[in-house]
Amino acid sequence: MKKVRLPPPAWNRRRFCGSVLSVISTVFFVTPTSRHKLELSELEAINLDKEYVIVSGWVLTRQDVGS
Amino acid sequence: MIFDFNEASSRISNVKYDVCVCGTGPAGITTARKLALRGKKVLLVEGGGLEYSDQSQDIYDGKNVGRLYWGIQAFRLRYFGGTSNHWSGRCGVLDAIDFEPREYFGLPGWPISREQVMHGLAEAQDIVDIGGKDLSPFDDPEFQTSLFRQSGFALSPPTRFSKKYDAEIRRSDKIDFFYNANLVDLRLTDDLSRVRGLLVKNYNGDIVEVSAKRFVLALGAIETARILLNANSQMAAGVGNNSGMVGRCFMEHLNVPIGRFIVTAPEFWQNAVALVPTTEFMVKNNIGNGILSFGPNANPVSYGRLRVLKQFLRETGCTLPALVEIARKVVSFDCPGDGLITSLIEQTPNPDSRVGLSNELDKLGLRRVQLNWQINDRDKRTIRVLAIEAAKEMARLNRARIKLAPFIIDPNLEMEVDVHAHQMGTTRMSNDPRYGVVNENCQVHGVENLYLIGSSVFSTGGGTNPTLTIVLLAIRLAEFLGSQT
Repeated sequence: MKKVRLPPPAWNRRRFCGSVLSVISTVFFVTPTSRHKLELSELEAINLDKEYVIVSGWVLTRQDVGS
Repeated sequence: MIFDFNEASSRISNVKYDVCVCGTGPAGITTARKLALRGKKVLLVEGGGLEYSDQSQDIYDGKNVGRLYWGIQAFRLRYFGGTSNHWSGRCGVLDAIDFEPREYFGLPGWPISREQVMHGLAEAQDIVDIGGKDLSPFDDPEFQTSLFRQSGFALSPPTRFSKKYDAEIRRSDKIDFFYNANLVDLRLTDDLSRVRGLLVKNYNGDIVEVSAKRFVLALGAIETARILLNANSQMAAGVGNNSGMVGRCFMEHLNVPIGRFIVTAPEFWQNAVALVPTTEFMVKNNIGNGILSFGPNANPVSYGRLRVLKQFLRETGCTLPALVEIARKVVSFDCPGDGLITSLIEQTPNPDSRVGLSNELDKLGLRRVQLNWQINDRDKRTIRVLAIEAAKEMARLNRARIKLAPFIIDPNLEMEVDVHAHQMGTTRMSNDPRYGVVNENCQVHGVENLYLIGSSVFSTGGGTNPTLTIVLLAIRLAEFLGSQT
């Protein structure tokens, strides 16, 4: 089977913006490690007890989050 | 009367003193003044000068081998007036629970009652210029909770002890005050039961042995322990250290950035809010004492090189919470109505947290301090329980919503713990020599005419700033020594 070499991707505005956002997210959200950990913890919702939850670090009543 | 020991070292040994007091911070000056007013002839010695000098301050330098502690030298001042020269002035009184035995602390607490300390309160408040102020915690009708009360405190101007009492000491015929007079050793009698004299050295290298009926060291929690440990010419482990407790149980008040908050009931936040846990709450949860201070900021202002950027983000982004969260990944800034929660948390007495000696010598020939400051799981538990329960109460009462710092939520993260420059506990008070260095009268166990005063004798740190308690204890010691013949 003959290998076909694909043409390089078109360098359009959409790809440019995507690349820039990728660099920014790498710098600010992945490194350093502490920032990465912060992001992970903020994604979690934690049940404190039957009346309170922690969402993105905020201590909220269940009424606050509508549950 | 006041003398420069660099020039008048020979005068110090020609007088029979009732009491020799070393150190001129709040504890030393209060003790000396009170004794003089009771007619005692007092020798007051200070290692530093009348003003700050690098020459004296360098003696406070030392080595840190424990948790990060940047204030071994910077938190203390070694000249007339001592650390009161940069005191911020916040005054509070210890709670009743602070004097109760708390088995979960692991070591016995104070051997004296709160009443025994507090009887001098009016006088102590006058000394630090907060006369008549009510310092008791109180129940805030706007904050109905059984878990917390509002902290009671008052702000001293703050009192600079050297400035306030300079004239009184100079004209007193009962106080001989020598500055540039460095305590370098304690000489005991042959049976080791009493102090015979103190060796005092000036910056020219002259050493004089001074005698008195009784001796009081009021040098602060680090320096008092360092001097006792260095005094090992007759007792290998140092004076007062038969049970190995000198230097142990070094405590701080923990300064932890609990988190930030947004106000949901602005009318509640007209005055400062500082919460302290109730006794029942502490005992039920086996935690220490503390203060959570809420500082709402109506008009935040930024400083530094990024102030323009912060101001721009504040003006453009604060109305859009989602944008704020993203922008704060880049630079930290406050929005109007936001606030930070700071804390002052009691640390449990921990024998592994200690002041020792390094192998490096200072210019007086004494081994410098080596600090191994530690906190333990009990301290971390106190921080987490106080923070989470306060956040829940603020949400329940709809006063605010609190965003806790990640390390409060996740115990696997390293906790960010700074300090309040409140050094305590290295010669703690206990009537059982196994657990302390001084007895209830501040007398060193086994050395009948040697007394220690200041924050070094604190058995526990409590949940308030220590200076007023230091003055209260000094009043109590002076009354005791004043009654002795």
